[in-house]
Amino acid sequence: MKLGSFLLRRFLLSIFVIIGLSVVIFIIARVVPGDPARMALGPRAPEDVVQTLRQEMHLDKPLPEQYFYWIKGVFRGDFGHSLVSKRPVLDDIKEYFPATMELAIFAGILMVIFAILLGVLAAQYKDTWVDSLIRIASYFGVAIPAFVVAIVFMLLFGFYWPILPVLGRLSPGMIPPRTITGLLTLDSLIEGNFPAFWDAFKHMILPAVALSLGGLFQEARITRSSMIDNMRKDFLAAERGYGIPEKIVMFKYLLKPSLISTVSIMGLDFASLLSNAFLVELIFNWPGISRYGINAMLHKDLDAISAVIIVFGVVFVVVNVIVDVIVGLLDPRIRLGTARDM
Amino acid sequence: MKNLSGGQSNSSIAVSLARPKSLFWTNLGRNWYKFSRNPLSTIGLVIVLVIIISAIFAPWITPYPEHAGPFVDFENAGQPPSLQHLCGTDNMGRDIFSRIIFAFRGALIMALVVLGLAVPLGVLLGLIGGYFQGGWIDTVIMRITDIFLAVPPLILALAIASMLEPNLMNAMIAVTVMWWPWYTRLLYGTASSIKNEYFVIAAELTGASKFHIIFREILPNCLSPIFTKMALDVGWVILIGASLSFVGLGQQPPTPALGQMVSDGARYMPTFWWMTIFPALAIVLILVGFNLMGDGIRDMFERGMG
Repeated sequence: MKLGSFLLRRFLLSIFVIIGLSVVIFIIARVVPGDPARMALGPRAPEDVVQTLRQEMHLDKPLPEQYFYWIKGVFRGDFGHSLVSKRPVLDDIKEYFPATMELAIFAGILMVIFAILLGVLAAQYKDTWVDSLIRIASYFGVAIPAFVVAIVFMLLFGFYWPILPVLGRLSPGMIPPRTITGLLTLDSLIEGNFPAFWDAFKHMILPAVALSLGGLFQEARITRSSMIDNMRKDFLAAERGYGIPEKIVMFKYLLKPSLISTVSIMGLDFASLLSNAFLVELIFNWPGISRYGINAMLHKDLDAISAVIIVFGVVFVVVNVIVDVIVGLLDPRIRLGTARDM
Repeated sequence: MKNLSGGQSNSSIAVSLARPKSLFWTNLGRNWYKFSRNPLSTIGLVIVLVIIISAIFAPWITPYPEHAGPFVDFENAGQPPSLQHLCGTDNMGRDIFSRIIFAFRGALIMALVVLGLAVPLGVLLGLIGGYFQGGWIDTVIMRITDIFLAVPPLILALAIASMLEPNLMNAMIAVTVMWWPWYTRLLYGTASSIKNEYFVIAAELTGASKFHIIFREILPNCLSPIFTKMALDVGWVILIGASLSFVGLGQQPPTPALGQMVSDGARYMPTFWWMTIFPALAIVLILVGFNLMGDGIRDMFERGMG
């Protein structure tokens, strides 16, 4: 199957998955907690006011009809009102979403760069102390939850060794750049505001490291083992025989096919990175959509919870498609359409 | 698996017609040898056994079993680690070491209940979907599975747990709802390839019922991937449980839970660092133990039984 038709099929399946996810989250939000109108207004609101809100929210209609009203709003960008922030959920998402994306993208970049670096090192120095050190580090790196790393960072850098900021996205008093993309580092670069860029960058380091550690070590191990598998392949001996320089053999012919398995699990690792963001943003007080989501959950803010889940569903669909495209570019069997039907 | 009966000569077909017995129990001694050859797996197993035994006998082995409940002793609050209190005491004067041991109970019960419910459900759906591959049952089951796999388990589990009352039971329900699809997907792949093996076709030709084929012919041959995944999953379920209790959506105080102890203790940093660091280390210990043991079990199955 060619990459194009593969992507088209993925796209159609993704739309189905998102709609399915919206049904699931709708059922959970409307059926499980009891009366949403009563919850929105609180236990002391008079019954007739609650009754009016029920009608406004179409709660008096049968469930499928309620879903229809809700999903119609969602398609127009109307996710309802947040009980906590008292404004449209869409406005909240617009405000908080870029912060999470900035952090997640930076953490993802850290994860990929260091995973490949450590994986290549471990494979190059297989069965030496470098390899053992990386392996032992990876046993712990995989097993230490991101929120524990975050708390240890808080303790170390917040109190004993304050060389990096531990709270928020910008230091107090720093004037934020004009919002263009919402990513502070990018916006401040566009404006040429280097102090703000440096400040925003420093704020990202600790949360991003906390988020990337788990996936980093997992991917390093996979890179290592697939490089070692490929090292024995005949095509490398053939290329060396042609007199192709060792560096080109290593990076073009060995590393590239070895990265296929690393990239294939990147989608899963990015997923766990973003779910860890729910706790890490809370600890570092990072004003992102995950912290917003947790606050919504702790206040049973149903519209906001549903919106956050749908936003994350869309993010994962996009991430998985990107991963598929990269795998396709790395793997000629998929790119040229000779792979078996997937 | 396929190459067992695939491109081989006629004589081997007679052999592969017999349903292969589950080799796990017959080769217990050899499997143990393979497992224990890697010292890391043995370390993992020892950690896991220590955790399980100390959780079961918590009331008898902890120095202050009464501290696992609504106990208050402000005179001894915030004591640093010492011989009397190995991990120090918390803001109410309770022995943190005793509370950690008691918190193992909730964590292990969570893993037991979640896997005990999610694995049979996921396995059953995966077997049915895989056996009826291509039919409408397959489509319905696998598309529903896709939906639940669309968002990482922690995020949807947090959302579900937040809409219910916060307690251990509801946290377990929330995680279970998110855990079965992984087994469905695993079993779907395995079952749909096994159903084309000769011994399944032979059973079909002799008129065996679908029930017999799914549970007596296919299921026994899926056991090693199931056990491997379960061994690796225990740690992750406990981690998700700790994450839920970290934000207050799990076991409620005064009953101790590891995540809840970490987040409560974090409020007293840096002076009372032991209130948060020791419960955090306990979580890491559980994960290291179960991961090492799980890796050992995976290697044992992969090298030995294919």
